[in-house]
Amino acid sequence: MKKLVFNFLIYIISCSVQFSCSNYANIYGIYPNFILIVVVYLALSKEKIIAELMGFLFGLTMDVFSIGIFGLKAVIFTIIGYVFGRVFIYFDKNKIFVQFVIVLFANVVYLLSVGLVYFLLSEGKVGDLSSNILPNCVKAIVTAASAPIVFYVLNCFKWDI
Amino acid sequence: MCQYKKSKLGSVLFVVLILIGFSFMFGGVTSCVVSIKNFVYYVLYPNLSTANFILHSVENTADNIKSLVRIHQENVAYKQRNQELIDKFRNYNNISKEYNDLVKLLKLSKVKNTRSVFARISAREPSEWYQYFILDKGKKDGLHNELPVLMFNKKRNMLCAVGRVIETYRTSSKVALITNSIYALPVEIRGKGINCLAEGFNSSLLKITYIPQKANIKNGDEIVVSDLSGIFHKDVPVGFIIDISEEQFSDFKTATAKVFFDENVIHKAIILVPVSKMVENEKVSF
Repeated sequence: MKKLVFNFLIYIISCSVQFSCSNYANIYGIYPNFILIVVVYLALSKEKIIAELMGFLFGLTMDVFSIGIFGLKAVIFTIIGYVFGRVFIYFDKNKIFVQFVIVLFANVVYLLSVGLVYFLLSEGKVGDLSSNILPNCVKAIVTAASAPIVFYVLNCFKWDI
Repeated sequence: MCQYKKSKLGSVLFVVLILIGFSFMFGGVTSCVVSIKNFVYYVLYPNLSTANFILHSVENTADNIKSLVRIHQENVAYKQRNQELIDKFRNYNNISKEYNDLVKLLKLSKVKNTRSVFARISAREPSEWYQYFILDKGKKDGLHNELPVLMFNKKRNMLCAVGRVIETYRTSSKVALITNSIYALPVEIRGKGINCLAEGFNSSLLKITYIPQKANIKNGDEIVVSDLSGIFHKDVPVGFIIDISEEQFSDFKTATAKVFFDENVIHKAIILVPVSKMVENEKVSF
C-alpha cells in the first residue's frame, strides 16, 4: 500500500513539475527532464516491474501532453525502465558521479531513440535531427546535472517501504 | 525461485507494455488522441480561465486587504463626522424653531433662505463676453428669472456677484452679467456706508456713479451690493475701485471699478434659489 502511495505521489509530483513548471522555469527553452530522472531512479531501486510500469505511464502522459507520435515515449521509457533496471542493478545509485553518468546515458538513449524514429518516419531527412543536436546535448547535460538533486529529494521522500 | 518468477513476470510485462506501445504507435491512434486532447482543452478552457482569474486575484489580496483597512478607517472617521453633523443639525433645528417663533412674536421680516444650484457655463459668445452667458441648468432644476448668479473667486476665496438670470428654459438659462450695459446694480463702498450705483458698459469695468462729492473714497476700496438691491443679498462683493474722476461743478463723482468675477476664468456659477416654505418644512422634519 505504501509503495502504491509513494509511486502515485511520485507520478503526480513529477508530472506537475515537468508539465507545469517547465513553462515558467526554463532557461532559453532548456529544462531538465525530471520524468527521465525518476524512471532511472526507480530502475536503479531494484524495482524493475515498477520502473517498467511507471516508465510506461510517464511515457503515455508525456505523449498526451506533447505533439508527436502517440506511444513513442511510452515505449522508450518502458525500455529504459526495463533495461536500466537489469544492466545497472549493481551500481551504487547513491554516488553522485554514478547518478550523473547513468542519467546522461539514459538521456542519450532517449534522444537518440526519438531522433531515430523520427528520422525513419520522415524517410531519411537528416535536417531535423542534425539541427537539434546542440540544444539536445545541452538538455541532456542539464538533466544529468539535475539528477543528484532529484535523487537526493527522492531518497529523503522515500520512507520505509 | 521467487526472484526468478519476479524476473519472468517483469520480462512478460515488458513485452506486453512494448506491444501496447507499438500498437499505439502504428495503430494510427495519434490523430484520435489529438482530437480527444483538443476536445478536453475545449471543455476545460473556462475552468482554466477561472483558475487563472483566481490566481491573479490572489496576487492582489494584499492590496485588497490594505484597501479594506483604509476604507474601514475612513468609514469610522465618516461615522464620527456624521454623528457631529447630526448633532449640529439637531441644534440647527432648535435654533431655527426658536428663530421662527421669535420672528412671529416680534413681527420681524424673515431673512430669505436660499439653496445653491451649481451650474456649468455651457456657452459664452466672445462678442457678448461681458454681457451674457448660458448656463446648463434651467426650470428643471428650479431656476427662474431674476435669480442672482454668483461665482467663487479662488484668488480671494469668496463668492462674488456675476449677474442675474433673465431667460429660463427647461434645461438652460441665460444670464445677464453685471457688466452688461443694460444692468445697474445698487452698491455701496464697504465700511463707509456710501450708497451708489454700479453701471455696466460691456467691459470688465463698472462705472460707479452717484458717489457724493464729499465721500472719502480711494483706489482699492471694495464695492459690495447694498441693501437696496432686490436681487442680491446685502454685502455680496462686486469689485474694487481702480480710478476716481472728480468733476468740479457736479454734486457727484464717478469712479471706475474692476469686477471680481473677471479675476479668474468662469467655469461654474452658483445660482441662489430661494427655498420655498414647503421645502423648508421638509428639511426641518428631516
